[in-house]
This record gives sequence, C-alpha cells and structure tokens, in this order.
Amino acid sequence: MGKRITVPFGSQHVALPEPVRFVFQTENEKIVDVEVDVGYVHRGIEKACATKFKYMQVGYVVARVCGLCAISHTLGYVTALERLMGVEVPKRALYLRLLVSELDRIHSHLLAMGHTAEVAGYENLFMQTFRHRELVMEMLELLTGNRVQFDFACPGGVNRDLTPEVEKVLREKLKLLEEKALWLKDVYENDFSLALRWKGIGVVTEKMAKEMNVVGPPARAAGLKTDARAEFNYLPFKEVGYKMVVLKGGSIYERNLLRALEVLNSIQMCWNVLDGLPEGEIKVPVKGLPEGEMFVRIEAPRGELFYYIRGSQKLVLDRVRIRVPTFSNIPVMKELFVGMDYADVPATVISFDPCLSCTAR
Amino acid sequence: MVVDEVKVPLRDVRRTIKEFYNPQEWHFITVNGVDLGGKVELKWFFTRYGEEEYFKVVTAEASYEDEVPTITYLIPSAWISEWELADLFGLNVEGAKKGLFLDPESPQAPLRRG
Amino acid sequence: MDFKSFRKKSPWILHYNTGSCNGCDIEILACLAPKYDIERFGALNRGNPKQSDILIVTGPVTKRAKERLLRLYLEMPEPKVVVAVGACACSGGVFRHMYNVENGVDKVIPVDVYVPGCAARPEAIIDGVIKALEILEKKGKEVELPRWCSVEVKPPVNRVKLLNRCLEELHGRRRG
Repeated sequence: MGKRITVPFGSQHVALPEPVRFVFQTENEKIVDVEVDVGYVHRGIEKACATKFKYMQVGYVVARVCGLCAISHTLGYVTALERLMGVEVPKRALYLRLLVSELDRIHSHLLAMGHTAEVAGYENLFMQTFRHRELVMEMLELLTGNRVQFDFACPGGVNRDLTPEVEKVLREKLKLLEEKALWLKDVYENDFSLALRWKGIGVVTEKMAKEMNVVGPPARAAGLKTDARAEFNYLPFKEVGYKMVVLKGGSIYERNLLRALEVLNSIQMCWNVLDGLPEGEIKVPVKGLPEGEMFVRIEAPRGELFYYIRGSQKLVLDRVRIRVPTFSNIPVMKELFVGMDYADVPATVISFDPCLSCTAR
Repeated sequence: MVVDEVKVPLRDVRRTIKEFYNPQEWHFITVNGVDLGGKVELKWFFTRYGEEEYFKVVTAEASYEDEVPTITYLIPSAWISEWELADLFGLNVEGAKKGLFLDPESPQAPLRRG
Repeated sequence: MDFKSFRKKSPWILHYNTGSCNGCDIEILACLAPKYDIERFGALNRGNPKQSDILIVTGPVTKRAKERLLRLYLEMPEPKVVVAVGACACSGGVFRHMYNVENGVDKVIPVDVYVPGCAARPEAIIDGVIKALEILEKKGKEVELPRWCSVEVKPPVNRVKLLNRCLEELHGRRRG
C-alpha cells in the first residue's frame, strides 16, 4: 500500500458548526486510523454547579450546557430535584413541559436534517428546511419568551403559562408546520440523488449499536428499541400518543428519515397536548433542602441524557453529573470511521448530530 | 423507580460486571465519581432495554492512589467515561490517557474537594 | 485603486465557537437562512480564514480554544473586524470565573463590536455585522495585535514569523 497521509478535520472546519477535532490517517482514500479530541469547549460546569450556584439556580446554569436542547437539560435537573425532594408537580405544568420539549425536539431534528443536506451538497434543501424551522422558533418564542435559551421549566413547575391568544396562534402555526413537515419527509424519503448519496453509507448495525451502547436516533435507526421516553416515566408521554419509531438499516439515510418521522410524531403529540391541556396551577413552591442522591434518564433530541445529583442538607449540591448523548456516541463514531472513504466523513459526522458543547461541558 | 445496587470492593468490580453483563440485554450508561474527601465513590450505572425505570448500580470506593480497573474488555465504549474520570478526578484508571478535557495550564483534578 | 468601498459590499464571514452553548451558533445559522438572510448584505459564511473579513466569535474562550482563536485571527488578512456574539463572548456571562475559561474574547484578541444577549437574537447579530462593516471601511492595512502582545511589527510583515512570535509569547505567558 501507499504511504500514510494525515488529514486533520477540525477544530475549525467548513462543515462543522462546532469544534471537534478528528485526525485521520489515510491510505489513498481509505481511513486506517482515527484520533478524536472533544475537549475544545470544556468550561467546567459540573464544578461550578457544585460550588458556585445554589440548588434553585442550577437549573438555569445547566440550560447553558447546550443551547439546542436547553429544555432537556433543565428538565433533567428539575426532574431529579423534584424526585429527590418529593415535590408533586401540577398536571398542567407537566403538559406544558412536554409541549416545549417536543417543540424543541422538532427544531433540533430539523436543524440536523438541514445540516446533513448541506454537507451532502444540497444547499437548497438546507435553506428550505431552515425556512420551515423558523416556524417552530416563532412558536417557541410565543410560548416561552425567547428563541433559544428559554429557561421554561423551573423546580416545581414552569415559569410561564399558556394564554388563549397564544394558543390560537400556536394552532395556526402548527397546522402550517404539519404540512411542511410532511413535504420535507417526502423529500428526505424519496429524493433520488439524496438516497444515492446516503443509502448504505456509515452503517451502524444493530449488533454494533448494542455493543457500543449507542443512544438516540442513531440507535433507533439501526433497529435498537431504546428510548428514554418509553423507558423512563418523567412526563406523560403515553397519554399524548407517543409512538416509538424504529427503522432497519442504520445508514445516514435511515437516520435522517427517522428524524423526519419523529418530527411528525412530535407534531401529533403537540396537537394532543393543546387539545387536552388540563386546567390548574402551573407552579408549586419548593421548600426545604435536598438530601440524598437521585438519577434520571431523559430523552434529549440526540438521545438519552443522564443526570445524577447528590445533596447533603446544604444550599449547594455536592455533585451534579451530566452524561450527554453525544458523549456515548463518540466511541461508535470512532469505530465507524476506520475503513471508510474520507469523502463520506463530513456527512457521517453531521448525521450523528454531534453536540460538542454538551460533550465537554 | 427500581434500583438494584451492589456494593463491592474495587478489585471485584470487573468480575461483578462480567457476571451479569450481556450486550444484548444491558445498556451501560456511565461511570460516575463523587468525591468524599480522600477517596472517591465510583458508581457504574446500567439499565435493561425495554424495562421501565430500572437501574443496576455497581458501587465501589477508591482512594486517590488506587488503580481503578478498566471495563473496556467487556464494554468497548466505556473508554470515554473512564478517561473523563482519570482527567477530572485525577484517578489512576487502567489504560486511560490524561488530557481528554484539561489542558496543561488548567487546574488538575478539578472535581476533587478542597 | 481604492478598494475600500468594494470591500464593504462583499464581506465574508468566518465563524468560530470557542466554548459557547451552541445557542448563538444556531442563531448565526438562522441569520444565513431565508427568514433573516444576511446574504442580502453580500455576506457569506466561508470556513477559510485567509478569505474572510469578519470574524464572528461565540463563547467565553476556553483554555484549549485560545491558541486556535489567536491563530485564526492572525491568519486573516488586514483589514479585518472581530464581532463577539453573545453574553459569554462579551464578558464570560454565566461561565465567568469557571476554571477553564478566559472570561471573554477581548482577553485574547482585540474586539470591535460586542453583541449582547443570551442567546443573541438574529436581528442583533445582523445589526452587529452592519456596525462591523462601518468599522471595516475605516480600517487600513496596519496589523492590529492583542493588548498583551509586545511583538513589534514593521512593514513588510512576514506573517509566518509574526504568527510564530505571537504564539511563542502566548506559550511563554502560560509557563511564566
């Protein structure tokens, strides 16, 4: 064979929205070895949560772990805290949390789909996807008051109620979004050249997914039935028509198709929440000091999110541990690249939807 | 929520996990450390596919100098959690490289107390 | 020939994330998308520092990203402007005084425009880029160095040597 060539990919790269660094050793076009560096955005949030911030403030700090799945991080923390302190959250607050978390999932999935299309050379489809994504952003802004970092959930409930005027606009926009999402799903499923580019590239088999503990859309696209929404009872998903989407195949094409299908399921859940929203309080006061330990699993847009908290009757917690979905998907990515063509790398990386600011914290 | 917790000495961790772990059935979540001052409490979290609200936790305690056994022979994807442990707690984990997150100029072992 | 007025018509953007939460980054992406469409000012997002005029930085600058940020900055040709987007890029924000951050972009490279907000809204980012264009028009070809940097620059500038000397000083500060 020819001699080895080193190709660095990142930390700053056209295809990458965030800093991760892969160093590939290639022989001609084939990759023979890969090194990964994920530490570019390590800030030290876990330490600050356990020293600087009081337990009521930590929810707002962990939201800044990641802007894409901001509600998931807050939700993970507040669910753990409420379970630890035995707080009964009102039903209406749970439904509102579910609504925001599903809207957040839709915008994150659309972002990932659009980005994969751009990396495959489909700038037009990227623009279209982002155009429809703006609908979700408008809905989130109406509902929570901010486009990205909304700080909606808080210990004991939610910070903002849904008014009838907002609900009316939400219904109009949701209807429009459903049309557009159906169209997008059709494009991602049936477009001839996209299928040519993506089918059979970057395949994660079911066996591999189980051995490497893959989570989230990449695992479900490989046929592994795992979803914290079904396996952990943190929000009333079963009451609003949650269906687990599982596909066979595990290539880039299936990962994107799965995201499109999950978007449709999430829209359906949003409809059901709006139709059956219970009346009542949105917040109960949280009193006392946390003691003991608690861990929860949450389904973030990228997969299973794990929170561990421990307190000892003090205002500041002893330990907050965040295990994010991308963190457990990095090993399989590393495994996958060996033997792959270098030209397929950007699309494969983006189709895992990596979130490095989550990973490094 | 069902939590099945096993407390074992550090040297038995790998054997305990090997006894029950089977990739078809079990999902490895992460290994977590909590500083107790002078020693670190380590917890290996597992869950079963398709089962609701179920956790299996293997707990062990390690002093700062102990060598923590690696489980990457059993679970290949565990290396990243172990490297993080080695980095942020300054523990001596078998086969782990330092510098996943920290730079030479950042404080060493930041998650230790004191 | 005077290029100044042409430069303003097609500013190319280089975006680097130095430890932000991705919130500002997706808002920058939203700026490039149809609803806000920063392209109507001729701005394109290109990943190449040697072709770019505007450097958009998000995040509080982590210790590992510091050297890369300086490299990117020094590789860009003059005139150039730096826009710090988001509360954490301006001052460190919620991450201020955490152990692995530098508390703001202006601790490492000179910043011309600060865009506040957590996360900064697309309108604010566009506003910041327009402000940056005004500054870009006034700037000349002289090399601007960070405040902490004591390297003297005499024309003609050898960029490779300049970069190496700045990096040496950065590493020297780290050791000393």
